[in-house]
Amino acid sequence: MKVKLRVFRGREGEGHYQEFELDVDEGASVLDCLELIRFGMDETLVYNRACHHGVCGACAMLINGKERLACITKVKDLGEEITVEPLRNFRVIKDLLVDPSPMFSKLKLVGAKMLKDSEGYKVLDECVECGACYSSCPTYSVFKRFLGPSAIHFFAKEPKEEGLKAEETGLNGLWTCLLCKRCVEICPYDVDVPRDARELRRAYVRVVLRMGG
Amino acid sequence: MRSAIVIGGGIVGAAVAHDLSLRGVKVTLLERDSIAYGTSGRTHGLLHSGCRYVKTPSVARECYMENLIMRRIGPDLFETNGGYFVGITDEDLEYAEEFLDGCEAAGIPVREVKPELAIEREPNLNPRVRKVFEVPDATFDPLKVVLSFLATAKRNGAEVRPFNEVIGFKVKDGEVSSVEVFDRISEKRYRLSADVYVNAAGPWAGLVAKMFGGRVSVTPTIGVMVSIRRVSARVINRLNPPSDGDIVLPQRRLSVIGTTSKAVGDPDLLPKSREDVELLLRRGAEMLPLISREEVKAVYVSARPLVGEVKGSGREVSREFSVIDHEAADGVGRVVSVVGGKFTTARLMAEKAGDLIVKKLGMDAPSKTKEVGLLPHYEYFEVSS
Repeated sequence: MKVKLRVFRGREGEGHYQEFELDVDEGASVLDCLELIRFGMDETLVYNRACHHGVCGACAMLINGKERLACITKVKDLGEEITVEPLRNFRVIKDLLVDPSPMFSKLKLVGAKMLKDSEGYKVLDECVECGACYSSCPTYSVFKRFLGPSAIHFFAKEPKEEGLKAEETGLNGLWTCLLCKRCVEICPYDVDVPRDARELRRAYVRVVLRMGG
Repeated sequence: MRSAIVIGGGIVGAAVAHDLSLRGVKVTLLERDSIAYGTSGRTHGLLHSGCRYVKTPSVARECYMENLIMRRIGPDLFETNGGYFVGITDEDLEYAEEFLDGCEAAGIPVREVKPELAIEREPNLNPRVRKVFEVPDATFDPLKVVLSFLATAKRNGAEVRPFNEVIGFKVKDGEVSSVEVFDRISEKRYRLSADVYVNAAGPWAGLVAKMFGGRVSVTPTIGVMVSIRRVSARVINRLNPPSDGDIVLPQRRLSVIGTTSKAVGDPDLLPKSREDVELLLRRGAEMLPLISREEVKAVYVSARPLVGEVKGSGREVSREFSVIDHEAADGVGRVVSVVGGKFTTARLMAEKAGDLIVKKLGMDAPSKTKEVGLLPHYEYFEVSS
C-alpha cells in the first residue's frame, strides 16, 4: 500500500517537514517506514529505536499529533498522510531524536526499580519508560520541575517517608499531579499514574501526617 | 592511560566497553545509529538456561554459567521465572532422554514437573502436554541491559557516542592509526585515534573488517519474531532439538514467539515474510493454543551474527564466538574483532576480548566483570542543563 510520510527535520526551535512517498506491506508499522527511509532514501534521518516490538520505549514520537510507539503503530490504521514529529516537552536533538535525560533523572531520583513482585513471579513493570506521558502532560509542559508521570508511577511502588516529604518528589511530585488522565489516554500500556498519585497521597497522610489506618 | 575505540553499540560493544573500563583503559564507543538498534535490541530476550543447546554441552554449560553471572551483576534486569520445556508428540517424548542427559552433562539443574501442575501454573498450556521439564531460563528488556553495561562503563570513564559512524580506517605501517567518523547529529566528519580498536559490530563486523583490510567471516542470519499479548508467566520451550517457532517467552505485557533462521546478505534492511509469521503462529499454538486467536502486535526481524559462511538455515552453525587478533590473522596491528556468540554470553565474549587486548597493550589487568554489579540503566542518561 502507498503511504505519504511528513517527517520533521531539524533541531530545537527550527526545522521543516520533509515528505516521503513509500510503498509498504499491509502490516507495516511507522517504524518500518522510517527504516525504509533511513536505509534506502535518506540516511541523514535521525531517530531512536531498539527493540522494534514495543517493549523498550525507544521509538516514542508524535504520529499524527499523538504520542505513540512507532514500532507498534500500523500505517493502515492512520490514513493516507502520516505526520511524524518528535515528542513534546523534551529538547529536540535532531529530527525525531529528543533528549530524554530529564525524565531519567527523575526516575533516578525515586530509585525506580523495573522488577516487581506479581503473584509470586518477578515481572518487569509495564512502564517501558518511553516518555510519551511527559510529552502529553500539561503540568510538565509548563513546570519542568514536576516529578512527572512515570516517576510518580515508580515512586508509588516503594514510597519512603523521606521521598514523601522531599520537595522534588513530594510537593513537586505527588501533590502536583493534576490527576487529569491525559497520560493514561496516551500510555501504550495503560499505566494509571493518577491512581499512583492518589496512592502516594494516602501514603503521605498515613506515614507523614500519621493520620488514619 | 591506554585507550581503546570500540565500534558497535550493541551488547557486545557495551560489554567490551564495560570490561575495558574496569581494567583502566580509556574507552570511546562509537555506534553508527541508536544504541542497540541492531541485533541486540531485537534479540528474543532469553537469558538462556543453556538447555536449548544440550547437543553441544560446552556451549550449554557456558550459557548456564553466564546466566548465573548476569543475574548476579544485574539483579533488577531479569525476570527470573524459569522456563518449561514441553513435550507434546511422540517425537518430543523420544527426545526427552537425550535432553536430560545433555542437561546433566552440562551441569544445568532441571526438574520434571507433572503436566497437571504445569497447566495449573500456566493455564494457557496445551492440555495435551505429556511431559514438562522446568529449567532456569530468564527474560529481559534488551535495551535496558545494554544501557546498564554502558552506564557502568561511563561511570568508569568511558565515553559513548551514538549516531557516530565509522566510515574509514587509516592503516599505516601495518597497523591501524586512526578511524574516520561521521557524526550524524552535527553532520561533521572527524578522525579519532586510540591504542587499540575493537570491532564489535555484530552482523556488520565483516563490513567493518573490510574497511581495515581484515577478514571477518560473519553471515547475517535472520530470525523473524511475532509479538502478541502476554500469555504466559515463564518461558515456554518445545521439547525438541532447536527448530523454528519453538520458544514463546514473556516480555513486559507481551509474549514473543520465535524464531526462524535464514542467511541473508544485507544486515540493514531485513526481509519479513508472511509464511514466517504463519509458521510462528502455528508452532506457538501447538504449545499455547490460544495463540491462534491472538492479535499480532508486531512482526520484527533480527540478524544473528553467525561466524563463518552460512548457507540456508544456519541452524547447524555453532553459537560460539570468536576473538580475532588481526595482527596475527591479517597482518593488521592494533585491531581486534569479537564476533558471533549470543546475548547471554556477551559478558564472557568481552572478558576474552579484554584479556587479549590488555595483553597486546602490555598491561597486567584481569577482568572484573564477574563481580562488579551493573548500575541501573537510567544512569546512562546524564542530565544536560
